[in-house]
Amino acid sequence: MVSLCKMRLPRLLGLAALFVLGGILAEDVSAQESFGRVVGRVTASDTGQPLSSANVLIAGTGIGGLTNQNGMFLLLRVPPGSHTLEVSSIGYSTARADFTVLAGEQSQVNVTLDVDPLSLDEIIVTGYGTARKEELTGSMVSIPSVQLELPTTTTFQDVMQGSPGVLVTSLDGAPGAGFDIRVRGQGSITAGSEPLYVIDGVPLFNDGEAGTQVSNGGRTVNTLASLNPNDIESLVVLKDAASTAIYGSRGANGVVLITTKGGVAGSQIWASEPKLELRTQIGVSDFAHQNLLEGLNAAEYRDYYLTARVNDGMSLANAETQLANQWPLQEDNNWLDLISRKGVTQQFDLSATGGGDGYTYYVSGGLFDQEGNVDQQYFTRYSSRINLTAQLTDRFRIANNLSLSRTEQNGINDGSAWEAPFYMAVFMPPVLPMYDEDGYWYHRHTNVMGANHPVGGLYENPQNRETSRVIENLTGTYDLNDQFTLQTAWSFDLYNIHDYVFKNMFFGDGRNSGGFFDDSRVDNLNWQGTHTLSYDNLFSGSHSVNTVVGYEASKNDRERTNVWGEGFAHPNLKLGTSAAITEGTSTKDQYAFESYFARVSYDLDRTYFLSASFRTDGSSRFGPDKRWGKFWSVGLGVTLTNMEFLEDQGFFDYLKLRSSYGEVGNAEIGNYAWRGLYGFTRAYDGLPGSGPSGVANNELTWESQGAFNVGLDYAILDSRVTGTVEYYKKSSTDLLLDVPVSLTTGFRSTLQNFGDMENSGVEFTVHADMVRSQDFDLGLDFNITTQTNQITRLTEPFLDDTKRREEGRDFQEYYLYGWAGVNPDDGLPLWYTDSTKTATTSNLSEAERFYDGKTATPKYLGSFGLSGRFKSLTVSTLATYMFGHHLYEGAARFYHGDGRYLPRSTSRWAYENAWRQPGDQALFPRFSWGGVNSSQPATADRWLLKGDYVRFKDITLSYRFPEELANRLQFNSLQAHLNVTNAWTWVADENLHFDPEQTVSGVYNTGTPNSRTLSLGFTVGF
Amino acid sequence: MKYLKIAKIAAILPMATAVFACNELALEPYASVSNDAYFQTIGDFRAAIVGVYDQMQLQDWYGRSIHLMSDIMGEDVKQSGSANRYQEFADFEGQVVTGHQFERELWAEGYEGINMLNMLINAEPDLPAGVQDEYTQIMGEAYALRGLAFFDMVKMYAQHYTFTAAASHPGVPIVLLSDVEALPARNTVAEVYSQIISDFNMGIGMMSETRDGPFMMSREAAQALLSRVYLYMEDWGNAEAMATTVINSGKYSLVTGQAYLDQFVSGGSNEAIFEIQNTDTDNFGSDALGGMYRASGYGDYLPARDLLNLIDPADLRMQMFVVDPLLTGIYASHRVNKWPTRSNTDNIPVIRLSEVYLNRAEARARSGDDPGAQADLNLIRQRGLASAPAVTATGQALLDEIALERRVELSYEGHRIHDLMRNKMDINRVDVTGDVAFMAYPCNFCILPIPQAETDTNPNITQNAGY
Repeated sequence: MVSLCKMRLPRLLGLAALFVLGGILAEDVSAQESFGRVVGRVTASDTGQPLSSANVLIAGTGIGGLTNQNGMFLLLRVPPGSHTLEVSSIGYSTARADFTVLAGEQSQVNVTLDVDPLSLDEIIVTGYGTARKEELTGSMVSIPSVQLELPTTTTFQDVMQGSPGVLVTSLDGAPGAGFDIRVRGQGSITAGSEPLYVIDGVPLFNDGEAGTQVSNGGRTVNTLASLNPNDIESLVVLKDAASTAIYGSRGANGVVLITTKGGVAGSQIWASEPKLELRTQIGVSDFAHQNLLEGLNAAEYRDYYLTARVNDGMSLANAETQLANQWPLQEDNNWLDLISRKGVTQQFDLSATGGGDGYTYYVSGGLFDQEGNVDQQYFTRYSSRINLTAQLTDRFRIANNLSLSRTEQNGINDGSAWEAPFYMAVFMPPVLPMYDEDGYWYHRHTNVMGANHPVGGLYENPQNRETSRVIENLTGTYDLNDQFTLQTAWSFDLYNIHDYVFKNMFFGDGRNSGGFFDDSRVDNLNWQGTHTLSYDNLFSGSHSVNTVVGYEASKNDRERTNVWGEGFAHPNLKLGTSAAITEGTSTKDQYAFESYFARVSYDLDRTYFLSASFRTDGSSRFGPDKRWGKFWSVGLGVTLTNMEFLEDQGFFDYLKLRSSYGEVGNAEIGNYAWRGLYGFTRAYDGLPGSGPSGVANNELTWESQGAFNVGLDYAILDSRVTGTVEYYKKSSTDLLLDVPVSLTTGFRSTLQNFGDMENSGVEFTVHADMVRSQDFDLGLDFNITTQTNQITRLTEPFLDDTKRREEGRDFQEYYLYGWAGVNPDDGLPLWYTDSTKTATTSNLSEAERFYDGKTATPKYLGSFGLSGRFKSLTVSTLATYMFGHHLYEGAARFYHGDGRYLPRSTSRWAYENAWRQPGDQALFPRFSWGGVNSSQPATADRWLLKGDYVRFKDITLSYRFPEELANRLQFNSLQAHLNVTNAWTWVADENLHFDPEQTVSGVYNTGTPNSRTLSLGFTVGF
Repeated sequence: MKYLKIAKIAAILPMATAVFACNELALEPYASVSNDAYFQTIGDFRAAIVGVYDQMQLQDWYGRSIHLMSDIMGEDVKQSGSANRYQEFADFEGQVVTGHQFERELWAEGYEGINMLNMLINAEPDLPAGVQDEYTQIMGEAYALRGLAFFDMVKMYAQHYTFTAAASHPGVPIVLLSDVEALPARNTVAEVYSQIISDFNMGIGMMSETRDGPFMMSREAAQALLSRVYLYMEDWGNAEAMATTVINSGKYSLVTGQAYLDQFVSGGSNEAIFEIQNTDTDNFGSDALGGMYRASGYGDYLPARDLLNLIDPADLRMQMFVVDPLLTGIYASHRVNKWPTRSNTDNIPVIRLSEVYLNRAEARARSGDDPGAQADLNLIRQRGLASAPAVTATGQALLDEIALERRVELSYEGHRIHDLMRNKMDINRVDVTGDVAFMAYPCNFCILPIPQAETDTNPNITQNAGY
């Protein structure tokens, strides 16, 4: 067996088996009979409007379809006889209509659906299956496609923002940048805390580290930006153990299930008439946060410079000479204005859906092009998708989902690297000339910030990333009988990243080496094979059982090559052939999983619900002694309103209690972390060298998590008010920690399963249909999540930048020097000596860092919105908010300078609020060259700001043109949308000079602020 | 018929499953080798010793910090307007405030090097006879490098050898085994020096060839370094003996004229005994040692004018400095140009022949051999300026002349603070831009603090006095 494994055969055999299976079953092809056709229209009872995208299914057959924009459907290949048509749509009760069709003839069936605010029949995608919403015992959020299609979103992650229990915060506003996403809190200290992403059953490669650019800073990247949000049918976030335990050792951080249009593997085959749709949007953007930090003008800068010199004891005349020596040419440049621009965003998506005799298709092509609000920043995505299904026999069907995408992006690194745009915009003196006599970017300031140039760098130092991605998923499904279904799926995710960084030879970081480049490529292949057997049955009308058992194997293979070179022969040359190659590297790493899993769901009388799941994972990431882990969950649900004691009350229209408990894992611990290793990244005098790179720990294992959830789904007031209240508690144990060791051992820390952590909170959602009528609807949505985090076991506290991780405290609690203001007498900084805040000192060495109850973890987060309709005009709004946390302005100690970093400049805020003369009640100490008495340590609460914000994230106005008008234009349908993203932002702290959306660590590191975009779009149906 | 079909499917499914079931979970890394598979061949030892040179080359060790921190604490550097990195050490603040934690990095990188050497030295390979000589040479280098590493640690983190009568004051932990759970206490300075001498002598006994010129450790390099060790211990006899052995080996000679100026640029001069070889691939950018001095780098550190005043304008060594017209007022007038190359391929000296002569001159003067001392001193002085008068001073005056010559000849190579301390002299900064112009001997803050990361994790370690 082992020798077989060494060969490439297994992969091929898996596929072969699939087709052999298909081949055998092909015997099933039954003799063709002559069929009938059914056409009809689906309308909503409340509005009288046609319902598009409603599911139409002939009960007991595999025949069904979706309605078009005009509510029309057409079903082919219907066996003659009497049938029942089942029609369902989100927000409406399922309706049934009986009809009869004759061979070779067409019947017409029109159906009207009644409103059902509870959507109990909604089919929700779950791990390795689907479930009706009513059956769920676990906790999840389902985001429908309409929210993904309308706003100008680069990535689907953006749309998850504001969902209950899900913290989504953009790391950076640059186009294509990444997000921090935490499902129900920070679950780990050092291992990954991002959820698992699964698209049509394929786990996605989502490893920021693999692609982070090598040098200088580290702009965030988003490997998920390769997906076109328009291709997504549904987005489901699984939050509790009952939902995620089936993903075993990868379930602890939550799971995001992405289902593409027409891509429900193994779903019923639906044939309908072709539906062609074109979406276009064009938008223009600027920065969303209006109070961005500004630098000085030239006059202010000169005053700052001279004041700081004179305060340091220099004569004014000498200081002026010094200034003139430093800046022989002086201009007055507003760098923030010069690096910023209005950005144009364009989006075109063309899709076709439909099907014929035994096949369906969804085909799409998309182009998304976004200019960032920093000059030269852009993100472009080309994407296409083909989702096909074919009913090969009555019982055997196959589905193939194939997507291809290409993204291209450019932009200088953010962060506090010297050339980072939002760092230099303030820190670089305004007097720096834009150009020299030759018309080239001025660069004679070699002793100021590495002769970088705020604008020149954007043009001359390109930093590109190109990605190409193919995600393929081939599924075969065979119905053994009405109850048993076999499914086998083969998938891969092939992802290629190409990063290219260039630094010119004249100014900035490349000036000492004749220019340099850094070219890196990552090839990632993730393959997976999944085989499941499922069983569905309804016994004596009241017991319903649904089970699935499965086997899954997967492997990830990542290779990376890197080339560095320097010394270009000519400024126009930028590639390796014209430079001296200084270094080349290539690496490869792998991990593999092998898993068995099972789930049982049972319901009695649609009142009592039970579900249980189990998974065992084997992983190459763990040492031989700890290779296999077991994970499980149990969930229970009761529809209380179906029980006798609640039968006669009139208050609750629906009440369901759910609870679950389970144990899941987090395997994001590094591929070879358990091994003691010798690494080979070293070199000396051209010879390769080695050194210890890891400490062996055979006991190293996944982090585990016990997760408890209890929730109540309710509907009151004639079901006009619906929602959910949930409480969760997640106890993470065996957290991986880099436990610091004595440096004399030659190591700084060793990785151990060491800590415990607890996350708990309440999620509350409410939806109210305030007005519901023929012409006018008005609805309100609100949700709030509270979250509490506590480290429950940690033997030794340890410092981690602005935080100290300590048992009994919030993971993100700040631990800083306490700023007590400026002494009005002498303009010197004052520090609290300790947490009692009773004594102050001007000498930082007499002060200590302390906790002050401030953390980067928001206490409350959520969203609210109003949606309305007047006839064919709809409006929807969404605002997101976070409260109770603090942000840390990481680079403040540099650019809110008090003279320490002269000749570099300072911010206008610092300039206008500095101490000038005795008696001044100032925010900033006196200016003095060389700095004032350690006023600017790296970790002080003078840079801590309230993080509370409310952001009107999305306002969409949508108008549906009358059908006649659309038809006259030769369209089936026509809709226009006006959309504003991040229209308005409220922040609690008036001194917050940066975007309130920052990383979960709360530390602002001069990233690009988020954009505000106004866009106009059309959706045209052909 | 139907059941037959189900049976077929039942047969196929296990097949599909079985082929996947052999998915290999014991994956070996590609970029590294498991510890238990290492130190099996001579190639493993070759790479491991190269790894140690790479370690010493790091910016936080010989790449910059050990020389720069020593010189910033000494007398010959003044901080420019933009200097911020090592401010707490320049101004003897007695606390770490800049957040750079260079004192932690040198400690961590130094002990990482020691651990790498321990793993190499303690490995028990079964090597074929044909490679035994090379193995012995590599082992010799390893021992000598460990001696140097302990010497670097003890000179930066502990008071000098003669601080107490029997050198019984705290030194640094002697770590000879690889044990990630160890929490060692500090050994005394006497014990550390004893280990240093033992390691150097082990190395001297095992090394026979020079594998990479002055770019790697050699028998003579170990002997030359040992002459410095003995000098610091005031063991004049051994210091002279070691220096004489190196001088008489005939492998090295003092270089003159342009070759003198080029010795750090091109590297591998006849005078170099051991130096860190920087190549294009090692480019630290402006963060390299030279980048901290040059205008084209950070230019944070400037030469004190009183040092320049000690050098005759015609002296060859004056050419190691350049005038920068942008420097005015207190920052005027020169920059250190010892490492002029913008791509930072200049080499970092660890020890060179001129120091060996000066070590011997001092040892001879201390043991009453003034003529011998004068001869050694004149060699160095007149190499810089041929017309310089021969030294005739004797006794303390001669010792003062030797100290002066060390200050000039070995400037910016990390010597001055250690020479001042072992001679129990105060620090007198004449041309100063920082906060501190004078620091009396004994001086708590003329050595680095034990880093907080160490005191936090290791209850057995004691902090240096005053910190």
